[in-house]
Amino acid sequence: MKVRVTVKYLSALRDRAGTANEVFVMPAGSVLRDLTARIEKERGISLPDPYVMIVLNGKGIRQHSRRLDTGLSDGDTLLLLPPVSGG
Amino acid sequence: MKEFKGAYMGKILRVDLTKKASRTEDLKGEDLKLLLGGRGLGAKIYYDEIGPDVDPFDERNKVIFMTGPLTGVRLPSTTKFQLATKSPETGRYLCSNCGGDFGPQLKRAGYDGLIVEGSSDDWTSIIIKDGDVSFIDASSWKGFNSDITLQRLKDSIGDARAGCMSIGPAAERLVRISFINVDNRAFGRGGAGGVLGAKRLKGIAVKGSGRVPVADPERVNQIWKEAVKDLRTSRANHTKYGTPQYIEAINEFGCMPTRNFQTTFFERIEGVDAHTMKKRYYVKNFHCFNCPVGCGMVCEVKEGPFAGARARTEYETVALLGPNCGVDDFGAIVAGNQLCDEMGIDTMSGGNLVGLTMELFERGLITKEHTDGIEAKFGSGEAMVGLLRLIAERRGIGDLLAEGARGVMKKHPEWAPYIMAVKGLPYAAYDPRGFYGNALTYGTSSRGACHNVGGWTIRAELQSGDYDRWALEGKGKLVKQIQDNRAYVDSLGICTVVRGSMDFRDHPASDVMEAVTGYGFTPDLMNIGTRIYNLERLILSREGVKRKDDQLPPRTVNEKVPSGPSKGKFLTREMYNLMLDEYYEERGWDSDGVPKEETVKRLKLHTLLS
Repeated sequence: MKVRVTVKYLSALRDRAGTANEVFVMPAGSVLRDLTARIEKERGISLPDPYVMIVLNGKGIRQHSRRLDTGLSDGDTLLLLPPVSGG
Repeated sequence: MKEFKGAYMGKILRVDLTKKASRTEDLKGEDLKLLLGGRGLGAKIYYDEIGPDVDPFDERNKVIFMTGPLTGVRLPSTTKFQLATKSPETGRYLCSNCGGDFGPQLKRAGYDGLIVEGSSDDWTSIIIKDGDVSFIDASSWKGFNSDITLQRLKDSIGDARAGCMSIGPAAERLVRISFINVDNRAFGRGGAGGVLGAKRLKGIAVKGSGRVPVADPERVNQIWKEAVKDLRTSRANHTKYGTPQYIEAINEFGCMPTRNFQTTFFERIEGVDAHTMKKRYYVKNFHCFNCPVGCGMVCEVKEGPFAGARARTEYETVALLGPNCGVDDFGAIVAGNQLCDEMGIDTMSGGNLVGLTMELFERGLITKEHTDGIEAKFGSGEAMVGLLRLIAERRGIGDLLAEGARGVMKKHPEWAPYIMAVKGLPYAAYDPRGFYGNALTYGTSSRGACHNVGGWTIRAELQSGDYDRWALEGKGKLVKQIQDNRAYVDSLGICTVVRGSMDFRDHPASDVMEAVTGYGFTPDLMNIGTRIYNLERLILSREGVKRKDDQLPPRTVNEKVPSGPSKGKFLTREMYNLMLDEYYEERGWDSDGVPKEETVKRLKLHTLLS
């Protein structure tokens, strides 16, 4: 059983990744940390990075937190983008 | 003023248009210690001088321009100054914040603030050269767009580096969403341009030959170098893409205003995102005074029906003239933006009113007879630009729309389900159903549904990891904190984009204020922000604002999001009021939203306002 996760690179992260979005097929039981490791290897975006924000299924993830151990599910969406600030 | 060794010029210039006269007044050091300047001091002068019975277009209304202690100092983006007046759009207190050269030049001319009062019999403009104040006949400028008027002002004062502000034809017609163009930045929201129009004041030019003193020049120079170095990295994306960099993100978060806030996700976002802008429309960066970031993106349309259009596009404009009108053509947005700039109307209220008109048209509640023949359907760039022109020229339904959301609501209360505004000010470009804190932002902002004054929660709700954006608990405390931070930053005279580089956060620890002013402001900055926000609420309470006025439009609290990442999310009036209760509690306000006596005393507002 594999899980398919859509990764979207927004704004300047698209420039760094060289693509707008892609699908990663991960082994069953994979966690978010496994996916970010693949992104680092294949796209050269290493984490933690204070100038990168990650959002899994609509929720922001602190890059030093245990939430990087969150299990991935088929159909998940991960956003990578620069930190947001308003006004 | 002896407690300050720099930053303040110590004087306010008061100009009376009725008498064509001017005089200066001394600033009080005690007021500055409690309110900093800028937005804080502007609110105090408004409280003292503009009563609840004054109509926005009454000659008794005044326009108070106030710089902050950092305005004009050699630090990054010390460009900002503030405005306070009675808003034609909301009928209540308005504060507004703007960049450009005007604020720094006003200080170099020797003034911390400028108060314009009375009204002129004929069209006039004010010219300020250091201590000399004169009035010029501007009757032949009537009808000039705001950009041409800026040029005339520079010609009149004889210096291209002068700070200038102007109004366009819309303000002459008392359109209630008229802006003031300040060196191609704007006092955008609330319709302050209309106040100048009612006073028959076409523009103001200022040029100073002095310098803004600082307490410790060596340390200020060091802070400048450190901040610029930080901004090269921390704001690199602002330099590259400007605020339109957030178009994609806000859409992916599921809070993009789409087709008059009917949903929160725009399916054709690639037509209007920052990559499309940069690839096909970008011309150059626009820098405000002393700004190393240059987040303004000057864009030009090179081909197609809008070829030749040119404007400086921002996130809010793109979102509200684009997805909120169903428009996926960036060229049409540039054209709409240019028309708003030249005619002199706010792109945000404009985008809201056009979105409203398109929904009314599609529902059959209005027809081509109302729209001067325009097929006002969502998705049409031509219709969006055409409807903006109707508003600016007060033609057809544009005459009603020019009265703003409040005027539309008054004449057609049956359209309430489609009018997206709080206290008469239309929504900013975020749908609160994507971030519940943003609902409180709109409900409790001092000037209506504004994301800046009201507190931009998206960063905290998403990025910090401390909040669930679709939870209610904790949002009252969060929104209060962001509002208070913004209130003090707005009183400093710097741009919010650079504030992090000088540590103007919730718990500032830097010595910037001490180096500039020589006074120990830093530990009290958040408390000053709290005081300012409560002062503004006292003004609003005096103008009749209560809990009922802090409520949101029906669509936000009645309808589930029908599509996109926030599909199925909803707020109810009961859910919203739970957040509002927590917010009032955090503020020390009673259950009707009025500051309690002990809150007023704790913040020393009773002595300040007596």
